[in-house]
Amino acid sequence: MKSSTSSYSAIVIGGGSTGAAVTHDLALRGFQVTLVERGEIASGTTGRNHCMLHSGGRYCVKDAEAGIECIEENTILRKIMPDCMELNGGLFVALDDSDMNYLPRLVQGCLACEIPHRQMTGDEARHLEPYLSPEVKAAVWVPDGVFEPMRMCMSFLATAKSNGAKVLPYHQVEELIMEGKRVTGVRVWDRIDNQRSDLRADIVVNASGAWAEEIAAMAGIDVPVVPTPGVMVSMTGRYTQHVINRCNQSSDGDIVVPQRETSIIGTSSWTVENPDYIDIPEEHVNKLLDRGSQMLPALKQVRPRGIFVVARPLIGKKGQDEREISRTFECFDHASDGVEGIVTISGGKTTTARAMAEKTVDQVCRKLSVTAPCTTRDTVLKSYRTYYTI
Amino acid sequence: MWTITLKIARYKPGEARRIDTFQVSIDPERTILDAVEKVWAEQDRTLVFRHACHHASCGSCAMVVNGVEVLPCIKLIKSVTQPDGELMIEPLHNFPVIADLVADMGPFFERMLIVGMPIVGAADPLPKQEAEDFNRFDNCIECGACLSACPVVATDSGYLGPAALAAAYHQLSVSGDSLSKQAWDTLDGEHGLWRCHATFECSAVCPSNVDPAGKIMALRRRMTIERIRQMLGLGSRSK
Repeated sequence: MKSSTSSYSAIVIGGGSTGAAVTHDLALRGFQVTLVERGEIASGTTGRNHCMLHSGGRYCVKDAEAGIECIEENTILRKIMPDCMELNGGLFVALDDSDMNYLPRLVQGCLACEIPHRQMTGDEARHLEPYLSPEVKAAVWVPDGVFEPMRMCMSFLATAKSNGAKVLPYHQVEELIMEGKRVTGVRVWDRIDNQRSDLRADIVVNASGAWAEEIAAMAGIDVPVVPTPGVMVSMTGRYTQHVINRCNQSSDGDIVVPQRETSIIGTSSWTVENPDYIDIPEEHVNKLLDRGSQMLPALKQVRPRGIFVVARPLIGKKGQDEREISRTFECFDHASDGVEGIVTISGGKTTTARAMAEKTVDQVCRKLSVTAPCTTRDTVLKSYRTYYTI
Repeated sequence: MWTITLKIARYKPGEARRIDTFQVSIDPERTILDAVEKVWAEQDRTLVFRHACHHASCGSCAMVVNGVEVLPCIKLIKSVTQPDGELMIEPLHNFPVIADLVADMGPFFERMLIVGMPIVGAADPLPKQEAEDFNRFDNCIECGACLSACPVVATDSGYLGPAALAAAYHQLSVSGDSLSKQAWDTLDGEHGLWRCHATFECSAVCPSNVDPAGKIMALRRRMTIERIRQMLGLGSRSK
């Protein structure tokens, strides 16, 4: 059993929140780590995220595992990435009988997952947030927050760079280099200099999210990741300090996230084959506007500022109902597929990126028979502003 | 669907700059960034460009379109052109270009680090809302459009620039925090707030209601009052 990782090298494929957090964790544990990302960091799913720091309230009823992960990571992120989030809490608002029937289940779920919460009447909710619909009959406060996924990735990677990691954006992986049934590196296309080169490493971590299948296929591996887009509509104007959630099961347009002077309504769900460019279905936009303005009628009076779409990586078999697929994450050690030298981490959400990285790097250390404990829970990240200056 | 022409400024290190022309068929309700992404996805994978949030919060996609600094993620195609129209797309001015549409943002963030304004600060309550300890992201999304538009940045590579000066105004006047000695010296120095020529190009292109030029003027008033107080021996009001 080696205890030092300083002689081990790793390549991380994918510069979203998962790849950034994995790179940060590997660097702290002493790996020589290189991140390769075909675009700018956070240019995939992570960048177009809803910007919600989940309390876990959204998941605690049907997916307790995801609920618990969220509240733990919510607490950790507040500590390690201070001064980089709007922390005004969130409200689950109940407008109709179906919502009112769901409310006690939400409270139960919060109790079971140890998510801080507080019930209130519709009037109390409107006292806190005057722009809430007069139809709101009751509400539950939870510790939601608002962050910026690009700045989160910049924070993780600024810290990783300061610990010796190499970050290579605009480097597209074209091939996994194999020696027999072992992955020993990647062939990358540097899209800045238009050069191709080989990078070698003891372990490759496939953190390419919605593109995980594409990368895994380069080693003949099948990974059950389904690209699942959703539309978001950012509206002009901010009408609440709190994040507003519909007090019911997950549905289209059930969350409005305030951010600066805007409100982001999201989201919807369908599956695609090719996540590189996705057409926006107009009926999704209309549904989001309708659902968002049920909770905040002022949204009917203002114009969209930005309408955007990107594919989430949900783990599951194609054809399974997207809303039923767990939002938790999974690390696949492809030794079980007969291929050494590579693991895939997929699923999950940006709020839990640090936890995904911890589990993945623990798995990598086990594979390499090294002892190197994770220290990311307590390591305060460097300012995101240093990402482009280091 | 409209068919429009994108003329995109191309550059790779060691090569001559050139302009590539692409025809794109796209819904005019979509954005300039969508059109650029479509060109990359369907026509030319060598194209490099920066983007992340697609809703004007990360500031990473700022570019020059038809000669004007914009955030392409919130600029609808129908707002800048017509069917069969043409868009000239270039990277930000006044920044070193890494390749194609990607500018080197190092010099920008160095300036923001000198000032050190936290990106999250106290938020005013909304109309009819009771005051509480609300907080929110500052309007400035650090996109660099203001530096690109500024004629002084074009001629003085050491100039602190509109974004950092607006941040300094916030540090002093809005949040009541003080500035570091390095920040004060830079602010009051040769490349600081007295360099501004008041063209207001920065405020004209800012996509996020920052009004850096207005803040620079406010900072000058404040500095001038400080100087007068010092001359009259009245002691410093700030720091």
